[in-house]
Amino acid sequence: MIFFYVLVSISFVLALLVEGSVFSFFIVEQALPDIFLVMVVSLGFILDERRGAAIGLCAGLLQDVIFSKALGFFALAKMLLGYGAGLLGRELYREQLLAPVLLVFVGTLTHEFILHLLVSQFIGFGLPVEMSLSRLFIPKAFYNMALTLLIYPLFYRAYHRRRQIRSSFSRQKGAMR
Amino acid sequence: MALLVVVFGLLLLIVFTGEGREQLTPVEDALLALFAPAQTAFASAGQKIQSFFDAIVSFYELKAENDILRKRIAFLEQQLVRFQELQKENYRYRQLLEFKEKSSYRTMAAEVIARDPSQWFGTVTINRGYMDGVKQEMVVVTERGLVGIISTVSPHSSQVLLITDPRLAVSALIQRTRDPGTVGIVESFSEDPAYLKISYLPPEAKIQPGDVVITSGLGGVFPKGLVIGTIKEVLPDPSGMILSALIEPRVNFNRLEEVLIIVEEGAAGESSPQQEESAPEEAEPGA
Repeated sequence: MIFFYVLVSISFVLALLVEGSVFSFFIVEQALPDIFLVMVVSLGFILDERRGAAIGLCAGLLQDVIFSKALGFFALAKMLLGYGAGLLGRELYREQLLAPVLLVFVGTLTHEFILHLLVSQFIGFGLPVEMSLSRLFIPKAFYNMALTLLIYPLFYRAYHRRRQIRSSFSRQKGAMR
Repeated sequence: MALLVVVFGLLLLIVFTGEGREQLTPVEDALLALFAPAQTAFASAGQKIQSFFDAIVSFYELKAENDILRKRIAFLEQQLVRFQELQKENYRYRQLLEFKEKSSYRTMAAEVIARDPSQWFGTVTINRGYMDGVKQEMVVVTERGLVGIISTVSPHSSQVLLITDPRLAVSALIQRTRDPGTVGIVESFSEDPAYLKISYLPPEAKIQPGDVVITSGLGGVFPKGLVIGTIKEVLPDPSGMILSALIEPRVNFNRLEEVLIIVEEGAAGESSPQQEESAPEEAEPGA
């Protein structure tokens, strides 16, 4: 399982670097994809709400440190998202791609509204919601949905492969005893 | 419960850091220092990727622009050709108008609408017929000189027999001497259709290359004084009884586009000296 978390950590670091550089050149309608968000939702959905929230918290804090002088905004939004994704993961089929893809769409809009609320409340400025929804949030949500098609299967396979290896290893040990 | 505590903690963090801070914490400093080189490398790679995509995009943009410009060039070239045509046409009309004003004839302008493609006959068709008042044997000229004679008339077009046609002969004299005794006959020159030949001149006629040949007015068909061409070469005659010479026509029959039909001669029935000198030597634009 440690291997899985190392993989997740490396993925987050890479995502952070790619998101701030390469992906910034693929702006669609002024909207940039949020790989961190896709990863947090995907991992929360695959794992559970507790680990989803922890991953969201760590990823958000990292994002806060690297991209924002103010701390806590991304951390809080992503932690809640990871938690929610984990809760829904219990109820929905994790092996199907449709649920996480739709969840990412809804999650993106939720994430952006949380940030909008936090920024307008604690910093005192905010973009007009209607304009932001059509020009930023929805294009971003679609962008993230497309990324989910690539990212979710990778994490899902990596997680279940480790579990299969571990369980077959346990069975072998039991048989030997 | 733990989640609520964390949420509360994060809200506090937002409150304390949201308005801005003087300094970053050592952990943040370390993280930023750690990420900075990698971010630089990734940014550089990102720029290269962007340049690559920009090159692809600009290639298609340039291609599209190139296509548009090519079409525009083709259109402008067409316009230019049309403009040049109009310029030439305008020049020719001005020359004709000038000739018309200077001459003592009442003339009618006509356009050449067809020409005999064979080398056997020298005929052109013009867009004026008997409905316009054109009659057989009317003389056709341009501002440069004699063209020919109306041979066939139909309601809206007529055929002009050019002076290069072997069926036509014109009585002519040398403008310089204007000696009535040195009248010759101008005909086509069979060896070279681009030239005419003046024959039956008396051996004592003092002709030389460069002399202008004009119509003599004898015969009653062609008015006197219309320029035919200039002597190019005096041809030796073995018998020595008559003199003949090669004439370079003033009119370029290959580029005949507009002509004037002499409808009625002037009061005197004879052209003025101006008429004889009216053939301009200047070149047509773009010629």
